[in-house]
Amino acid sequence: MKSVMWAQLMKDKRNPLFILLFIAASIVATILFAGGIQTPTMVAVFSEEENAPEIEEKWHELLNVDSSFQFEIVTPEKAREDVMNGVIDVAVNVTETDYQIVIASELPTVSFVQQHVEKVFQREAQFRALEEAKGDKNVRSKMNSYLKNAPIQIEAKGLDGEGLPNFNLGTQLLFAFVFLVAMFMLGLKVNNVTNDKVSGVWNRMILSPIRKTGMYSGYILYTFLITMFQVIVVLILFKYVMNYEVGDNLGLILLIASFFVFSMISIAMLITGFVKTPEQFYSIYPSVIPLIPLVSGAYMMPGTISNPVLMFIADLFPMSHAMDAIMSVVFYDAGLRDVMMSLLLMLLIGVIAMGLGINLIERRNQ
Amino acid sequence: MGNFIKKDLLIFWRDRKELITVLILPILLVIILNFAFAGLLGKDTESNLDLNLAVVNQDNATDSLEKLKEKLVNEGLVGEGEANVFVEQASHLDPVSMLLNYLDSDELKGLVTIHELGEEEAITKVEDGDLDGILIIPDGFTVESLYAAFVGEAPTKSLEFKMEKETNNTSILFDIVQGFTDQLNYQFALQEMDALENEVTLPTGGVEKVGAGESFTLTQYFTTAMGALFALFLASTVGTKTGLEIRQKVFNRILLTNSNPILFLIGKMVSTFCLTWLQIMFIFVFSHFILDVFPGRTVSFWFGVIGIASLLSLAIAGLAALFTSISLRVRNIDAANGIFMLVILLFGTIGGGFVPIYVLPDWLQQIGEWTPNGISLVMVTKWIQFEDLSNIFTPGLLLIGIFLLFTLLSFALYPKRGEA
Repeated sequence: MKSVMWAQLMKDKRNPLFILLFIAASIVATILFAGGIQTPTMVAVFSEEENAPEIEEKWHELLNVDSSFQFEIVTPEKAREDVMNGVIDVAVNVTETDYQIVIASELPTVSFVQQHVEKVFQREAQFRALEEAKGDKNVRSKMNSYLKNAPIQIEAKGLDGEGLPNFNLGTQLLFAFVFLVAMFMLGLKVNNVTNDKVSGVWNRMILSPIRKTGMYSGYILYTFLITMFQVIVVLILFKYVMNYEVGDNLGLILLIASFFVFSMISIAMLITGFVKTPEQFYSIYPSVIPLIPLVSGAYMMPGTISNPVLMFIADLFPMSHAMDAIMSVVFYDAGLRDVMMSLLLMLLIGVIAMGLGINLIERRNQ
Repeated sequence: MGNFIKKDLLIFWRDRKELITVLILPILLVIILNFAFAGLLGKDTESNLDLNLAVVNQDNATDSLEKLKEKLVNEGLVGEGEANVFVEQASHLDPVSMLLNYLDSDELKGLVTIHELGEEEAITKVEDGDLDGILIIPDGFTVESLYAAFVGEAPTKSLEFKMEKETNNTSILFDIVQGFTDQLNYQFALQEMDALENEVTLPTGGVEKVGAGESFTLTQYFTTAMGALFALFLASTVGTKTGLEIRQKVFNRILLTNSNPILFLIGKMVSTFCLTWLQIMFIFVFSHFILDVFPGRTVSFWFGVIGIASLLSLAIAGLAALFTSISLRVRNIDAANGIFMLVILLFGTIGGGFVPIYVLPDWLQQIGEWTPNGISLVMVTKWIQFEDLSNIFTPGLLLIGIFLLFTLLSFALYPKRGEA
């Protein structure tokens, strides 16, 4: 077992670029996508009235109150052109009291922008009516100060009455991408089995005094260790160097990650069992893997995927269980006991897939 | 020449398991993505949601108006008469019954189911996953809120929205309740200004569609993105298959036959072009039959799609040639395969293959429009919307440019005599 591990390690030591690239990839992916959520949507504002600059200026100020949208004044021609070319999704054509949304197609952002604009315009209409009726210029500030201490308040709380920790989709995405890259990395390492088979190393090992158990556990253990190395390095970098929120209980998170990695190694082993050559593995594995986080809902708010068929498929893979467990540790202070169920499920998936996978690989030999 | 193309096509044909995966998987993905995102981004999202909210009403509303009057008078803020007037006004603005009516209204009927429960029972049910959240109306809420409305200070009691974890469902529920309380507060503010009966002309709004084009739906997006993504995968598959041929000494044997070695590369390109083209058309046609992706489009529209698929296939053939040349050159074929995979993942991601491109930051979307799959996505988007050749002319040229660039690079990198 040791010698098999050692051989794998030497291969990577001679060519460390690969592992470094993967570590870099998971960090870059997280920074890009977790950061991307917060960038505001650009919306163009323009007017075709006679006193366009005034109107534009007025609404530009009133519309720019929400951090998720950024309204910018442009010329009508440019706004239409940008929308048509897909540079921006939405533009707003404003008049003194009314608005028109300019779109090219029904994109998801459109309805959010529309809601926001509608609210702003309705409030404004009411303010204006009020000002006219009262002849009072301070209506707006009076209303606003009244609403600051609004009589009816609502608070969100946890079930125990304590304040609810703020769920952060960025943190969830961080783990999703770390796991996604880990899945690719471990897949490539498990693929060494087929590589060694086609190069004849496998047969030579069979002839050597090394035992079959030793051979398999060598590959598995090495893959496990190198993938965990990547996960640990990335998480530590995020926690201590880049100060991302990855929870206080890093030990438990790494435990969950290790179960996940084992479980995914088994699934990669299963796929290896289906294929004959490393090339086949390369063509099947990368097209299956990106599906898993998607179906498991790792890129979206929890509960977004509610289709029972999809949820069933997601449950067959370890990712959904790992994400569940990690999210409850990071945000809801779950302990080992709370995540035990997820750990056991991942272990179960791992054992079954490993059994099937090794069986298939062995059967192919005969 | 013909023999080389035949050889490469045969390599694929022999491996039917892979062929089927490559053809079926993208269609499966389009269907899955459609399901997964239909609830998230689609137009009538709310209709397929079923939210369960428990309402725990601890506020005994019957005598609250009396209590309010007492409180107002006892605090010495107003006389008996003024208090009576306010209480009379307030009786039309009972927040609890308004809230309950709203939650029970037809508008929310299909969306939210209300369960009136005790707090203990509600908590157990939330923990069991039967309910999404609990709205608690605390004792004395009506009195305190109305009192706060009168004096214009923040109230001492507030509604509590309890949930186990923050999920999509709980945030929608919370937004619904909060949207209503905002509206209610606004009403109170208007009342404070004595402006409830004011005539207001509300903006009418409206939507203007530019170019009067057809709209571009998410299903169309997924179909296009998956088609382009799997075309990319095909490029790396061709690249990695070279590894097999190196191992089996196919390449060396070809050199011995005295045929021009560059034909090996050209054979790869032509076969990649054919396969990619077939694959993309397969994805488009089958998705169309299963999901009715492009309803009621003309024949000329489909010719345009064929044209775009051909251009993309050309660019992909160039990429495959580049991968092949690199494979023949490097010593460690595994590292090369890994790097191909990373390149494909990178192109796939920023070109919108793995996550909808709209999720990415703007600058990344613009870079993504320079990848072969990103360009084809832009082209299909425009073609679907406007069906106008002038719109897709430039990106089409860009795809040809990419093809030429990759081909030149691959010829330059192609091993010379004695280098393979």
